[in-house]
Amino acid sequence: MSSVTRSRRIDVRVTDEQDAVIREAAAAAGQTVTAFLLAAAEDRARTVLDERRHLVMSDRAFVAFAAALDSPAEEVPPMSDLFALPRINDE
Amino acid sequence: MNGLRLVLLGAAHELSGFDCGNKELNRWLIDHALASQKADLARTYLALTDTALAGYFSLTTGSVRRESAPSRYTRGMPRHPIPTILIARLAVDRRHQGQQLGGRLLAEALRLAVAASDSAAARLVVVDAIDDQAAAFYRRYGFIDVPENPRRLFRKISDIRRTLEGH
Repeated sequence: MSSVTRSRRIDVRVTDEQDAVIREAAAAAGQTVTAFLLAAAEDRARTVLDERRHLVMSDRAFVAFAAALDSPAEEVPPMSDLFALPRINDE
Repeated sequence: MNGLRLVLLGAAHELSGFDCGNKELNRWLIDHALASQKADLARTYLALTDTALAGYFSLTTGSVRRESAPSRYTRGMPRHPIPTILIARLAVDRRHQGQQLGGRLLAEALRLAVAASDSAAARLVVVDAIDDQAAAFYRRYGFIDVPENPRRLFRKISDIRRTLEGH
């Protein structure tokens, strides 16, 4: 990340209180305000994206779900209708 | 609808006029899709007419995993997360709705998902339905609700491949 050029800007307005608490926390962490904000925001962003991409199930549900996947492959008739539609690139 | 083409999103594509009726899906395409693609977080495909952007979908990878850490292994319990191809977003511009373009986009997304799983194994296609209407759309084509995950639906890649082989 640090070897990559930072060419984009994100402008954010903050209140006096937010400014103070962020500066104090950055100093306590031994980081610049920029580094502190970037690390916190990137961490949160990746967590949010992970929550979208990675589905979580209770152990009990997961066992049943995984077991059901071992059944033999079967054709899906309504999906077959989908594949009968004209291809997008073929027109 | 003549001259429709499916292309991978590029920096030169004009996205700003896209309107599928859902602000979140519009905004993601216009503001975030290209950055996500450059960061290798998602691939976005556009359906283009000669003059306009008619629809898009984005693909990424994901998993289905269990709540407790894999170290808490109990007998008979599958240890590993199940790898998935995720259709994260799929949308059709208002001006092109009602012409089965959604179904055609989904068919192309599924073909790409099967091809991706041929080279890097995944067991499921998971779809992220933006609302109940979208969830109903996926159910209509044979997708099944993922337990405990509202508006997430799935189908085994092996089922999709088998279905595709019939064509």
